[in-house]
Amino acid sequence: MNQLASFGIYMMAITSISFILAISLDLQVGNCGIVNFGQVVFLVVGAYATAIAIAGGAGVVTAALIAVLCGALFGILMSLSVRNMSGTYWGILSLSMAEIVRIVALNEQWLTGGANGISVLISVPGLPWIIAASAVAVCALVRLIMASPFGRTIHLIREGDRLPLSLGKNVLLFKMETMTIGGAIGGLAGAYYALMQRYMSPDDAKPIETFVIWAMVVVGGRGNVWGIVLGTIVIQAFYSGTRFLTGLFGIEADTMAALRLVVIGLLIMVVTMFRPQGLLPERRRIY
Amino acid sequence: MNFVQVLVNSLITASELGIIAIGLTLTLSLLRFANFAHVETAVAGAYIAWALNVPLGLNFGVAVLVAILVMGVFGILIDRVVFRIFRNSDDVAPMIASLGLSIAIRNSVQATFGPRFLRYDFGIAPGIKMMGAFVTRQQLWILCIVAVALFGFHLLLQYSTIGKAMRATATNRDLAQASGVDTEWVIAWVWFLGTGFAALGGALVAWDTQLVPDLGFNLVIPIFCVVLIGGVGSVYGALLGAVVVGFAVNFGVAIDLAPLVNRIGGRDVVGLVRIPAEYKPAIVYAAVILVLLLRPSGLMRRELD
Repeated sequence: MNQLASFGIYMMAITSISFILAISLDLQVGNCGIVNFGQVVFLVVGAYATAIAIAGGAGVVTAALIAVLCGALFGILMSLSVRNMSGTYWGILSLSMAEIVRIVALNEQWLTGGANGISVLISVPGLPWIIAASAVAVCALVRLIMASPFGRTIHLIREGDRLPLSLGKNVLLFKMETMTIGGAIGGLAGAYYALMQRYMSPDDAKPIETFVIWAMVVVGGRGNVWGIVLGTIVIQAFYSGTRFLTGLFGIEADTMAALRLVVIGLLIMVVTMFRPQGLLPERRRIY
Repeated sequence: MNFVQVLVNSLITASELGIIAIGLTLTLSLLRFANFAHVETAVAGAYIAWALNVPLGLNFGVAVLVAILVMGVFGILIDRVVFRIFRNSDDVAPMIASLGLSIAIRNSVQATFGPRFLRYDFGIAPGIKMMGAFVTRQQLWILCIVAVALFGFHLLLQYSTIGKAMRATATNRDLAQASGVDTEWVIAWVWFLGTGFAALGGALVAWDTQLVPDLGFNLVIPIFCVVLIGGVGSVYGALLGAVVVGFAVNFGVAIDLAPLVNRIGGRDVVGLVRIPAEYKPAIVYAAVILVLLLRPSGLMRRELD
């Protein structure tokens, strides 16, 4: 029973981290129309920043703040290259950027420990609860942002550049701000990830991690916070739950992992084809 | 640096990338979306060729031919089932769908064939040394096969009815349709040819190196890079792009940067500086970003010339 409870708490923490990442992605994709195929980069930057800061003697809070800052900086860096590119180019470009970061993390041993990864030798009491509370706080923050004039403007930008431009809005600046906020939130998720796993390695930086987050956003419902909640829970439960099926059907762990991703991929595809608004569609508001 | 060797390697990389990139640039220009699943069809083709070649004992050439046909039909199929829905939508929705499809294909391959690397059954012949460069017989074959395939494609595009219809559809789909071109038929041909060429390219890459399910993972960005450098929709541009990328990655890690560093530093700082070989993939990623920033429309013009 005790074991079950601790597993439940662990799952809650992991799901909360995924949710923070998903809500950050949704802010960019669902609300502003920025097609970020490199979302994992914020997690990676945040997690490495935390791990390196703690290894350098920083406290947990300082390390987390550094992670948020690094995430935000990376958001700015990525958005500097957005300019007015179409979704196609943006997707390719953000994927390339995330891959560059992964290759750097893999090869700069002195900084990141290379393929062996980097350990976080610190334990935070009550961390899962802090993470869950942060997820709720981030969720509230994003709702607040979306209800503000800023939120309405980025919604407008999502529908195309021309109308906001004709209203005198600096589209580029708004996209940059969105990416900065998204990056900061993603950096926070990275900090929690490093503290929770107490380890970070380039394996967690692969593009597939981005696409699992994408599955949460696409399946749940872009632009709807409750959709993201639902999508995160469904995908995370499926992703983690199927690990236990390995012994059941006598399927090898490798094959099971691959089959799991086949389902995730097909889910992304089928939902985009037949229910592009996701399970919980965005509520259309009339202003 | 062995100049001839690096040159030969560059040419081989270029031919492998070029043949895969054709399908991507064709669908990108006709249907206006980035097909992330394209490279995975190349890997799937390579695996089908392996399945026919090794367990079933078919001749390698025959196996590859069958794989090309199978994947060509598969290309038409995924268009009919998946991408047809998105004909008149924006460019993002089909891209996301293709992303999902690419994850599904890659992991289906991994689930079926396992994560270990495989090799084709092909008599290992000794390599050839010419002008100081070491070339394997496979690599010579690859150069010949790609040259023939590309020349054939060139003839098809320029002189056949379907080739002309393809060019017309790529330039302006509505106008082509109004002029009596059955655009759906053209699109089906494009998927057949593009995915078939991809399967050929995938088999050649796997033949040259080895066959692993992650093969596509390392090819996605380079192939997009090739297409972007060439300019979306330009077949000949894509071939130029393949040459640029092939040379960039091979010369990028071979060139001694010491003179440059010393000049910037203003003194004799270092003896020999090279981009570490581990960063070979990063050269392509950086190239993609540079190209997109400087010339989003590519180095060549847009239409299927």
